[in-house]
Amino acid sequence: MVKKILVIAYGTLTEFIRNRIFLFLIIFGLAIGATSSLLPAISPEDKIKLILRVTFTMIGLFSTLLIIYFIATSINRDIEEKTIFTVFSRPASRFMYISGKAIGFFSIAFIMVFVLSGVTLGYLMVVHGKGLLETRIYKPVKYIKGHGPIIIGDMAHLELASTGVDLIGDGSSAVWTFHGLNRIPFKEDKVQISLKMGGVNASSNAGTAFVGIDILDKDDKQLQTTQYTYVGSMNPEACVAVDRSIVAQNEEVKVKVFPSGKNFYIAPQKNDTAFLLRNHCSFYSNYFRAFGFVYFMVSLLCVITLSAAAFFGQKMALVVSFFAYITGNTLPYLKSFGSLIGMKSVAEMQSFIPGHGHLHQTETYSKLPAYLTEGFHITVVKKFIICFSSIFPNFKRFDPTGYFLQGTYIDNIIFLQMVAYMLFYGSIFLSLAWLCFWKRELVGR
Amino acid sequence: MIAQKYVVEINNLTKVYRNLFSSCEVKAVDNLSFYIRRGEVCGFLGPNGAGKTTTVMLLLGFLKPTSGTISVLGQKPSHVGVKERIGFLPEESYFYKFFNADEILDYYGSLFKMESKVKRRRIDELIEMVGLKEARKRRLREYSKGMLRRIGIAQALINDPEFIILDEPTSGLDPIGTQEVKELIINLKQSGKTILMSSHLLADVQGVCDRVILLHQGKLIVEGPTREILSKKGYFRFEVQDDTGSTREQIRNFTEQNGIKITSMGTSAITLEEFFVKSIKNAGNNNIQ
Repeated sequence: MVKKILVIAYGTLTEFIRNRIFLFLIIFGLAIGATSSLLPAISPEDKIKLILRVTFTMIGLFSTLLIIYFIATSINRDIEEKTIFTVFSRPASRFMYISGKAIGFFSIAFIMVFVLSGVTLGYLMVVHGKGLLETRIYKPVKYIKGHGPIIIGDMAHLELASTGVDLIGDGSSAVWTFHGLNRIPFKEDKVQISLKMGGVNASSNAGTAFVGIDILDKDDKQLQTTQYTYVGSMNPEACVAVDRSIVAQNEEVKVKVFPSGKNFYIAPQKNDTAFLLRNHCSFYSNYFRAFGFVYFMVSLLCVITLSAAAFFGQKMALVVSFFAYITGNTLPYLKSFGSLIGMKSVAEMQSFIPGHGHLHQTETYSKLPAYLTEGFHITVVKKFIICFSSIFPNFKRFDPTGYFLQGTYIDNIIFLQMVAYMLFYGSIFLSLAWLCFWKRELVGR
Repeated sequence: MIAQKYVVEINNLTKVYRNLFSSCEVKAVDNLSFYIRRGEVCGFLGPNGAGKTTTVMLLLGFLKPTSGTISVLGQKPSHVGVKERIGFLPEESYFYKFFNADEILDYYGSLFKMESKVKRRRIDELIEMVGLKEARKRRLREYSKGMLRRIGIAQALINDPEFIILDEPTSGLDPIGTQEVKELIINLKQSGKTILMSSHLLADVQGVCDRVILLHQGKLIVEGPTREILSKKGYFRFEVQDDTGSTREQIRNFTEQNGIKITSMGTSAITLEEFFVKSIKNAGNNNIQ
């Protein structure tokens, strides 16, 4: 049986290779590299971060669009052109056919993402070679949580505390206070600190806020020049590099994060956390893990499209797959939206949508007419959206761009979590594809 | 394993196509019963929409019957194992056209339990047999209709099947190709294969089929041995060699004297197909000389 499945997979892969999509992949890869190089940035380091962010977003997008189109047409072309009859008149079951196709599509997805990533990386190495090599990738060492002093594992003499929120809303800032950093034997010139916030929001710039970070002493005196960085609105984390000499001379160091323009808002929460970032790894190691993330997302899309194509015709399969892609990428927003439905008070909304802390926005929500905020239908819609967004796969989890923005390492646990996540949802959708195809009539009249 | 007498047994088979979104129903096959004996070539005839293709799809397990039973080589047609022993040539050339002849035969051959060496040898034999040796490395999308038909026949025989379903096997072939396919079918019959041949070209069926099944609107109209069906009871014909040029007159006189009624008399002629094949072969031989 395995041999037959592999034969069908080989056929699928050959079809892709002989369609000469490779040429498009190389052109796409170069276009991605060239486009991302044109991005404006305030510093060379930020430019590299932005380039990598755009690169991976576009690799994911191109691979997804191509694979969705290829799968939806491949299965239905087999049925419409009746090529499938020459397969099923052989000792090959529907299970073998779908399994073979799935393996073929996974291989194609791998080739696509690999070629796109490789071409793009090649282009970036030629154009920004030095900049890439100098990009530092940090590994979060310890997870610091809560308000009171926390004793951290092997660094037992360190006490860290987060004072939580100072302000929320337009023009707000948040201050983290660290005690005892001077007792840690840092080896590097810069001490990297990552601040995890409940939410940021930007009314422009595609969900990325631009924030400033000040390092202050206990009397709020500025200890080094303000640093600026981008913070993604999903899973926001602001990174700052503090001079080792400053850390060594101060028992108490405050880190103040504030939005850098009127279009940006930050909304830190009381349970926000901080990481100390140490043990930097190679840029390429992170790049290939990020490649893995994109591959997992495209593979998951492969199985979703396969199950759609196993049940629907070509056009409907395309519509369903694109809907799945868009929904999976906006799921966190959908969940927030579901939570928001029916809420009446600003305070209630603030607690659910930390990234939308801006007062005017929440006031607008509260002015909605009654039929949009109460009644049985609202309860049903709210529960449906929350339930759907809880069970549908969240493609944002596979987005590696945040790691490049923050310069943090994609560690093994996170990587394995993503593998498990992909396998879990992949097996569900693959079973659905088998089930749909098993019941599908291949001949109509 | 004891060889069964019948390769195909169909009893009270009915297939109704239903539309999910309307009450419209089409009865493609209506209470059909027939059988195919082991080792015979059976012609499957009928006008468009008679239910031939639906019956073939049911025989291959692509469709499920609404009612009735089908047995192919003693098993249900949906059984994957039974496909090891079946060869199928579809009506149109439904193949992956990005493969070449070698690759397509290797692809289909790999779906059977065949040893690699046996498969390789079989591919070479079949390509030689269907006359595609020169074009074996060309992609199928570059093939003419006739060439696709030839590779179709080759792929149907890749597993050396016991039972072969040929849907319009001579469609798209020139008279020489048609003649070769007919000879191939006769050779296959002589080697003990059972063949179901569906065709609109009645002359082809008449030339090679032992038995014919005629369908109309999903129902069986006529079924029986080709010779019996086509014979006119009470009539017979013979061909006479006329060397002197007066034989015709002599026969006429004899029959009139003895009260025998002649219903038709004429000069014997070969068919245009026979003439075409003969002429092309002669031209080929002259060129070689």
